[in-house]
Amino acid sequence: MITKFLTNVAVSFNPFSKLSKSTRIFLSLLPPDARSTMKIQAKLLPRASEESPKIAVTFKDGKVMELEPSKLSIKDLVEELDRHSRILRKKEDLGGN
Amino acid sequence: MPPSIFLTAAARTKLPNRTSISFRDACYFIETFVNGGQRCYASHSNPHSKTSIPPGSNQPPSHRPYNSRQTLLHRTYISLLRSTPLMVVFQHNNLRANELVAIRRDLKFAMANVDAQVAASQPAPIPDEDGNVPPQPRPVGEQVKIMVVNTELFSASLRVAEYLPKDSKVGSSSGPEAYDMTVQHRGSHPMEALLVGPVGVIQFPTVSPPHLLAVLNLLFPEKATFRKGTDPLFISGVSKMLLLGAKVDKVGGPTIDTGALKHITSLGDLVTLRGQLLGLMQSAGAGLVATLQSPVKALWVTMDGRRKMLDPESQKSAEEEGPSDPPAA
Repeated sequence: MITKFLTNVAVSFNPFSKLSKSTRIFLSLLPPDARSTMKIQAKLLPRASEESPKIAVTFKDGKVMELEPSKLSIKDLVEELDRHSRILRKKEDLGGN
Repeated sequence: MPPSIFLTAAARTKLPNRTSISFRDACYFIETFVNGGQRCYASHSNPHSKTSIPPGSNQPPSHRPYNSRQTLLHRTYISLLRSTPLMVVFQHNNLRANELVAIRRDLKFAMANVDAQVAASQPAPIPDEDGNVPPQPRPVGEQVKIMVVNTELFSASLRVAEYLPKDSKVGSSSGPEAYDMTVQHRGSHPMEALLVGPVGVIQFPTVSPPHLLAVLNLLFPEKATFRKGTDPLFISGVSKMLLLGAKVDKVGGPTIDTGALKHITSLGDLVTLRGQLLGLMQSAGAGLVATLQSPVKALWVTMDGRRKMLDPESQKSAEEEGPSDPPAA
């Protein structure tokens, strides 16, 4: 997963729900020094909560992507995020910085 | 075809340096060559076979090969599940090794502090006649440990620990019979939802609210404020840990969420709780006795009044007090 272009990650999930699997794996995919380059907020819902898990990611260009991880596998989730990251990377490469 | 492929295959099968080879070696050579060096183990060992007992040993049978890491971990986790009354489950996201070391070290110091506080609040042990201090139980804080678990094996062990009937005659909890008897419960325990991704547990030897409170404040603070001089590795490590839930009361106990876990910290220790329960039961008992007694008492008072009314002796005594009709014969 390309995490270079993420600035803000906000997730909320209920750990007792099987739907939150991809959200939790997504959190574990952020690199060890991610906390120094981006802001990560993880909110745990109480056990009785029926709310579905949520991921909201802000990119460097200001785009906010909100995903429904209960309907996506971790592979789809990463693919979805990388699609925009690759555009940003291409822009950066062409900018010649 | 370049000859190097043959040479690598020959090197992988460790063929002897001679021109003629045996039929068995030739078979190995072909197999290695065809599979590209990847030996296919499925045909060699069946994981469900009951023959995985070491030859000439009295080791109990195991579902996986007896000398595998899986068998070792399965046994470790089963004993952990059966003996730990409080297990806090957390997720660690890409902890570095030195961060985990820092967390373990700071946890040890914090637990030693709590142990000292608990020991100070309790009465000092009274030495006997010879001046010997009776042996004290090992402090709780010493036995609080962080353990990173293998989630798949942990859920397999959880299944056996929770769903294997107590009276079942199986040779070993890690054995094939135990597996077969519990495999239908796959995914049914509420704790299994927690066992996804990088997961660790903090094990407590008893449910001790002061120790639990210290652990939660140290490793899962609601507002990250650290003392001056805290190790930066510890701070970065703690920011990556997420409290998921806990399992209480050994086997058969419930899995609780963070809210219930925080509630446990507000309770007193076990001795205080027992005292409270005893007080509650005594007062309830007294109330029950009073309730049961009251109709009987009322009945007795009524009957006694009636007896006094009908009793000639008492009537006589009542007549003596004032002039009235002669007593009935």
